[in-house]
Amino acid sequence: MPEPAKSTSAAAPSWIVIFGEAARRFLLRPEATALAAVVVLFAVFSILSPALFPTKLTYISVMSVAAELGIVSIGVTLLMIGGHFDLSVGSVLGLTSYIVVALMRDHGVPPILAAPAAIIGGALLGALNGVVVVRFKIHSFVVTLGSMLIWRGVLISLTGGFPMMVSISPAFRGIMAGPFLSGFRMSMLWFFAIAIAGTFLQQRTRFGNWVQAAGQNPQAARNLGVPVGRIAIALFALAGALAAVAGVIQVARFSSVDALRGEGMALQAVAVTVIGGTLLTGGYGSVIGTVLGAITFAMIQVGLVLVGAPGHFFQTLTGLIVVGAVILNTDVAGRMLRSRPLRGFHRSSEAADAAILAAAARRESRDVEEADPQGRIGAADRGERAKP
Amino acid sequence: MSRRSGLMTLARIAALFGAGVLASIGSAQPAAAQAKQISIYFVGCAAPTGFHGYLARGAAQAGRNLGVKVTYIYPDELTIPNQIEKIDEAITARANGIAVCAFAPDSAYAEVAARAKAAGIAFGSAAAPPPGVVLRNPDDIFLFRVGSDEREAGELTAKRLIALGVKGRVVVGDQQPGDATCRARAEGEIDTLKAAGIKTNFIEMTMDPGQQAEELFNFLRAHPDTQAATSICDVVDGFLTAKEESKRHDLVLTGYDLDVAALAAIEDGKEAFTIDQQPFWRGYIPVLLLTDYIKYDLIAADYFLTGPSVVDKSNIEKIAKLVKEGYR
Repeated sequence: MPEPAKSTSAAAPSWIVIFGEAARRFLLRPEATALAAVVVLFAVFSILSPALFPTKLTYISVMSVAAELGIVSIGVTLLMIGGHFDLSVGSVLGLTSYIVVALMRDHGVPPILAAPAAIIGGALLGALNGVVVVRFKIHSFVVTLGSMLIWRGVLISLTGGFPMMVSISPAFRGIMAGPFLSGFRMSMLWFFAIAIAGTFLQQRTRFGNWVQAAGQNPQAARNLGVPVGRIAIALFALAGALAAVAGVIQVARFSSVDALRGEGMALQAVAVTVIGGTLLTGGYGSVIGTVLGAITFAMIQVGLVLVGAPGHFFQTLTGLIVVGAVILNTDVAGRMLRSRPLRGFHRSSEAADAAILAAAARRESRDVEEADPQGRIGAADRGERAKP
Repeated sequence: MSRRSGLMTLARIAALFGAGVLASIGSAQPAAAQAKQISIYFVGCAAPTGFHGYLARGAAQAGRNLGVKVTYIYPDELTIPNQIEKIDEAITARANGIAVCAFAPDSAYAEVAARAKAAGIAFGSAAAPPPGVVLRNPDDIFLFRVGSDEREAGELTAKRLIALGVKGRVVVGDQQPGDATCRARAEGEIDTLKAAGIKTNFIEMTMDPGQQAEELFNFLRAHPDTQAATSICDVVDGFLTAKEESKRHDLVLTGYDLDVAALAAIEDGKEAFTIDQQPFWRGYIPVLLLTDYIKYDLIAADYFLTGPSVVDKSNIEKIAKLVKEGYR
């Protein structure tokens, strides 16, 4: 992100320039394109279904889907910013749901103890992933692919393959997933609370700085004294704990667990995270972007039903819209990175200016090389294209 | 090498050799016992959960009752190559008999069936015969066929809905798009309803009950003329929640298979009926038929249909205990 700009000229810039520069700086943030996706989808679905889509019931429905998926996705986001993946979050959600049900149903444990126990269990399962990744230096994709299968198998074995029901007190259901404000669910409140905490952690704490440093360049971070290994384990534990929170909410809402609970959620969480502007390569991302990404994903699901999209193509359409949102995100983010401050402003550091322009030039020249590996295009043309 | 270190090396070699001899003696007795026990591999369509859980349980129970070793294996993703690979693994493991949850046309299994036959392995299908066929064809690549016609199950659902007086729209929700058995159910139901002039919609869903609930909730908002909803490929929890939250107490809900949630819902009247394929039998009977063939060279003259059957409030009480125990 560029350093704060300041005005150079003696005369103050016009309000148009000030507004434009403020907008440009906002668009540089990872959340900006996710917000754009929400706005665009809202507009499209509202036009296609004006009577049904822009209504309170729709907003309640969207937030209900977004909350459960979003809570899982926040953990995945922080982990991805730190440079790791966790494909096992869906299985952890299922297994920790089982823990809650088993504790309450088979051991008479009250929900006020069963829920935290499951969350601690989720954190431990996540931490185990982290220990294996760090200790044996295996890529997290591979480790969590394995643990995804392991925990799913354990869940199938423990449940015997059959759903398990449990009696849930109205108070517990109300606190975790019940309606609280104009029909919106408590899960939305939990989602926002976790998002605020995650944002604070990412942007206002040393831990958050360490996470970004470790994600951008683990070796450099290590050289600077960042405990990269411990950060990774903590992030995996956090992802597991948040998956367990979503599991507890689902148990409270559906009074049950089944052997396939959470199946497919890991990939949905990754999609939401990427829509929200987090880079798959790590080091860059935003919890707020993930919140917007979850809302985007939920809007797609709800919107397709309300506009009467062909039912055989829901998965296809969902996938197309997700890819479109990511392309929009990447393209706009790239353009904004290459943009210059508006007239009347410049970046306070000439070094920052030069670095950004050099990176843009290198990207352009790489694009030209890929398009024309044999150098058929003349140098003059290349020179013209290289100009910002 | 010094004399002392040489003696130590010899001692280590002797200890290792002795351990190896002891291990081979120890394993010879159970190996000998295993060699006598019939080994049957049940190649399923999916992990032993839900419907397939009953199948696996039935097969395991048959193994216990008959004193045969039953191993349930399944592909991660149900595709023809993946399932054939599992059958090949069973052949490599020198199974005495293989039952396969066949989901593809016979031609997909012809080659592997021939390999099994050449290896002296009995080979049967845990899937229904073609519609209308009762007697076994002597040239059938499968020794037997045991199952319930999925398409017919869908047709039965549709006929039952019509009998209940459903005239408005019906929505069929498939939580596992791409699952061939569920798609056959959906097509059977949709085609029968459309032939009766009833508007029908098919919607893809996910396995997440929260997302299922919201999807059906919003479908009901978009189509207030919907009179019935069928859960084709998962437990009915999400549908029950949508019905409650949309306050559509008149909505006729139907589903497949029995579990404790469906049991409670039928008893309470929230779910009208469920189609029971009696999957426990679909796992049990193949093991029985394979065992009797291996031991006594017996082949059934006809194919065995395990379902479909309807379970509703009129007969739920009789089987409630069995549902809770996981047999129905």
